[in-house]
Amino acid sequence: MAVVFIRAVILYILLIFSVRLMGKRQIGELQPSELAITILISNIATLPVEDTGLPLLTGIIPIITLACLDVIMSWLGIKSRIIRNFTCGKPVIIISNGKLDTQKMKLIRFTVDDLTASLRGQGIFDISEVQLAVVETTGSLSVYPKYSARNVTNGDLNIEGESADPPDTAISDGELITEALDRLGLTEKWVKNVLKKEKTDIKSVFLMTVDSGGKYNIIKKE
Amino acid sequence: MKRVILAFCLIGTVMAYSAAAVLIIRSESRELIEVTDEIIEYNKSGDSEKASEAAVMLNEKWHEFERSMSVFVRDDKLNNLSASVARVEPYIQSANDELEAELQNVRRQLTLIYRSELPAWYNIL
Repeated sequence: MAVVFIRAVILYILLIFSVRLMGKRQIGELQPSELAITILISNIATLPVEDTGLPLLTGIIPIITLACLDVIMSWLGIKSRIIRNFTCGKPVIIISNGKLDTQKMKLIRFTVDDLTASLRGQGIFDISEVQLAVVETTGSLSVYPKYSARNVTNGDLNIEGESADPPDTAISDGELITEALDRLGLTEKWVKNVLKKEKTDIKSVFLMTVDSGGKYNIIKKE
Repeated sequence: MKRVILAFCLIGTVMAYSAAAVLIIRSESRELIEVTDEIIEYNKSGDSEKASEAAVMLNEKWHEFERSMSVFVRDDKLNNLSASVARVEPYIQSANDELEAELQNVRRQLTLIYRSELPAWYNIL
């Protein structure tokens, strides 16, 4: 039992390391090659934990190899479009100029139900509102609506204003996030002055958000 | 870029480790095969005393080999071989007819362990 426990701990650490090595992209959006590697790694990891007769290295070596190959293929994909197309595939346009391309849909085995469900997911219930629709390599649908169905923007109404980054977390659960202050161009001294004005201190703050203009919001601990 | 460099380094380490594993298994299994051959020779010439000494040496070397091989090789393969090696000495002492067959079995299994680690097409496919 102790062997199984130690093996499970080692593989847990190795899996975290492998997923971190593959990068954040792995968690958010799975490309076909990444999906294959994730399934393979999760299967391989269970084998040496279940079967103590198997050397642990028969699990460690393929996991490291697959994670490294994924990183190397992603890097090669940046360098070469051919490799990128091979590992990730190409996005497919299924609605162009408002016209549905049924041949392309058949080619990628995308059904009408898939299309309508994806459109509904984006708040579009009438297919005639779509100017362009693209099935991305991750399988998600990107939609560009027709001019008549597009939302009015500030630009359309000629409303002028400056673009600014949204507020960032400066204090989280009594802990100062210095990286966020650096991004916003603020200092720890500035935060302390604000807190002094609010008659509190860093440890008493549950959440403090600040934007680049210095506008802040403080939620104190209860 | 750091990740790519790390990935290349890790792949290199894995390849070097795999090559080292094959070399270690080859050298250690050859050593054991040599001792097994000695026992076969002594047995053929009827020198049971020297055969017994060689069998003790085989046992000792096998224990070292088993420990280092358990990192690379499945337990069941090693357990089969362990049982065969354990039979050699009692067979010599009791002048058992099956001694040579058992020694040939030890020889064969050692060769198979080495061959199964070779990156040859028959192992890969």
